Amino acid sequence: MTNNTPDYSRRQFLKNTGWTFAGITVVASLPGCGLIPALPSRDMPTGEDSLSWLQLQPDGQFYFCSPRQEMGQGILASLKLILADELGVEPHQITTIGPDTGKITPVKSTVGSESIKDFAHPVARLGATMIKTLKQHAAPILQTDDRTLEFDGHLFHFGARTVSLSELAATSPLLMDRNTALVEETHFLTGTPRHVGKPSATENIRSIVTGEPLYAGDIRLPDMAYGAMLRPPTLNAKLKSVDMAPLPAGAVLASWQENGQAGLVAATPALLFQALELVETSWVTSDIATQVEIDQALSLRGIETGDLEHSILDGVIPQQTAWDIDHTISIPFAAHASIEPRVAVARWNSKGTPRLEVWTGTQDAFFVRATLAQEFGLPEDDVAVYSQRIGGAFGGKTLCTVEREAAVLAKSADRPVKVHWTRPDEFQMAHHRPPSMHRVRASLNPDGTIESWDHGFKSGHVIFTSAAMPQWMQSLTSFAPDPGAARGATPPYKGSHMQVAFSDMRLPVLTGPWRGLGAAPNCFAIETSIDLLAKKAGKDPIAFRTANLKGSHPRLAHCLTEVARLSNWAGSSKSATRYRGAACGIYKEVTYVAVVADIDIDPETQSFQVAKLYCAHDCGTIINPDQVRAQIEGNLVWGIGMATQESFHLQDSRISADYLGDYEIPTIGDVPDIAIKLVTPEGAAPAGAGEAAITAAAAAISNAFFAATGQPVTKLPIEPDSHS
Amino acid sequence: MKITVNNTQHEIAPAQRDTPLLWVLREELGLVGTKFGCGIGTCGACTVHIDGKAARACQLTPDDVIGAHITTIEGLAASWDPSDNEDSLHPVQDAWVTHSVPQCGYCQAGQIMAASALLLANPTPDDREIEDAMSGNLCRCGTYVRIRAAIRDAAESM
Repeated sequence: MTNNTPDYSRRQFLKNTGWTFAGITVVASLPGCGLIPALPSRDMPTGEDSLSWLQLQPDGQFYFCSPRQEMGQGILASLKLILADELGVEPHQITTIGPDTGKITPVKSTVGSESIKDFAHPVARLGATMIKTLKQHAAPILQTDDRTLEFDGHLFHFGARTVSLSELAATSPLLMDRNTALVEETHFLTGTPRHVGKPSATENIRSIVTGEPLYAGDIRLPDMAYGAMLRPPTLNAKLKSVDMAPLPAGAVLASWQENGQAGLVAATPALLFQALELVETSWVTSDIATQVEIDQALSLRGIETGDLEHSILDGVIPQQTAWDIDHTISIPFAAHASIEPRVAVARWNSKGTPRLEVWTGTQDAFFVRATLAQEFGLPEDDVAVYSQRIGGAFGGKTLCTVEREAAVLAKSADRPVKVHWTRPDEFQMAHHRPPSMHRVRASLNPDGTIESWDHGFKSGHVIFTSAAMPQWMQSLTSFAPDPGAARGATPPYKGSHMQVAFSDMRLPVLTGPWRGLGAAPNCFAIETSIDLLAKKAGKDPIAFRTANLKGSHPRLAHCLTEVARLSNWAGSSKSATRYRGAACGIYKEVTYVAVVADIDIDPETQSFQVAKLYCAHDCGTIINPDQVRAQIEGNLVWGIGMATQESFHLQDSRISADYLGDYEIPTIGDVPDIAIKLVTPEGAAPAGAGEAAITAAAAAISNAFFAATGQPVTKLPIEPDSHS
Repeated sequence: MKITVNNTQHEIAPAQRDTPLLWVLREELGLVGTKFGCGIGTCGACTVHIDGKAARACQLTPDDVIGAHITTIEGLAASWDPSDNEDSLHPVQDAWVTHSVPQCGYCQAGQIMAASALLLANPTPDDREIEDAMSGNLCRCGTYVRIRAAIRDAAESM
């Protein structure tokens, strides 16, 4: 087991994250800038890194410390299928755990649906290298050459002589030296795999259905106490004073206060709840921007696309263009609303290393480690972060939040401390999808193809967000385009003149990545505008899309054909009360998706229900079809939420929602039957499925509503009453 | 005072009698399969059975359940067939595995407890009855299509 971390220079680190766009590296030594905060790594894994991920245990079981975090996307099961094929064993012979900073070398965060695309091959090579190494160990024992050995999944054979996996690792776990040369040739994507391509349920499914401990909140340590921070009444309130006098003697084990923040630690949850009720706090509050002011800041009224800060497509629109559509779309704040609120357990050790241990469900264990090491002035090796299965993340669990609180409170109490965020904490303290405003204008050629396309938008930040950066760094990024806000804004369609530009706006609310980042709102704007344009052209929405791809993106065109077939598409109207809409999208240039949504609508009230969803989905070669389908289903359900329910606003300097009743997400009755067609072009590289179908799902529903009512949806969620 | 959880009696300290049952189960008794999601009974992650009926553990205290039989996800299989071995599952748990329902899995213990309580009360629910019984159990991953299919299947096998 290696405890060494690779040497990387801070400069290199920054360069690889894409932060150099913002010029951060060159101004790092400017006075007054303070410390450069820890930043998430975007480095691709190296072969040497991968050697730390796998070992053979004395009981003959393989132990895989995954470089990817499991949060419901099924990645552990999928990587295990790849490993099993390379090792020549059954998947149950491999035990998996999430990223553990003490066991593996630093690895980039689990974001962006990149795990299969970027890690499938390294994991395959790792498995092939491990089996080669094991043969080299077995050969002298069997008194032969490693090339003459056979392996049956448990035993290495040479003639009648055998040695088992457990015998090879009999004395200590077998690890590969970091100088081991990685095997280039693997079985992955060649021949007929035994496991890859076959449906496999999520890892630990049995533990899930029987309630065994799996999540960070399930950790219980000896002498563990319970902590909570005192929360401000408004988003920007500063703590003035804390009065502990109302608390009975001995009610809390410790209290902590520093830099306008405070927290309490108690021996039991009951004592903690009581202390939080009794403690008296006073705060200095000041008003922050109102929702109306945010809406004004995002407004595009009177602003030409060419005047926006960042150009994505810079085609020149002819001055005399007569627009056939001029469509404005307003997309609200949205929350991740994972059912598991953030939770962490921290423990300080008075001697030995690591000094600080943290159990948490995070998308980025190494970023949490780096942040805590910096905060407490420790070398990174003195901080260990043990990733637990995440109870839903969706881009929300990418930063260091509750982990820091647990560490601070554990230190002050001198005991292990568990901090569980409340549901209001999740809404008030976490980051959210920023709101955005879009204006799409387009004109048609006489033959019904797109002549000019002009999409301008304003969005809050997604990557260069105040949730992740101190203020000085935010100002440095202000002239760089936020790549998260820009995601998905390039339409797949080809017109003669295409202009797309945006401005990223600094908002007084923590914003950041949310499933699909900018792709969900941007594709919604594109795909609803396309339906307006198709109607103007008098064309069928699917035929109009295909025609305007003009031969580009054949895989997207194929998905459109497949979803039309799957849904027996014959236009937007099925009956007086049933309408359908179509939409499509490309996620990160690797995954293609087309969706048809059927809605049942009351023509009088315009209230409607999604009646059926169809999806054709091409993410290349599929490792685990069951988990790909599951991800598509989840994306479509998010599309229902986005189109019909999800929204919050600022109210009295707070987020308007504290509970899941205030912020509605789909329940079982909102979700119809779903038909999925997996499209897998021969030899196509495997890509992600975690955020692809969301690009088309909400627009397909909105387009069905447009087909039924003839009224363009200008604002999410769709509010039937406002159109009646 | 004593409460009965999964057929075992547990002594509860007087100081805990007003604590939400959820936290007593999780932090005192170590039955962590019952999850915290909201604390006000709107998400269903903490669903347990009180005398066979679905209830939200965050909305109860030990005081409320004196003399009742509490079943948590950890005791569900044994409550179905006490004679069976440790490896056996309740038919609803079995259906959850067969249909590969969980994504992140966090809400699923609550979903399974709600579904098993439904089937106890109504062995042949139609889709509307399934929706009515399950509408208070939120799943952010969006596994609802599989939940519906698994409940239909479990109903047939029970």
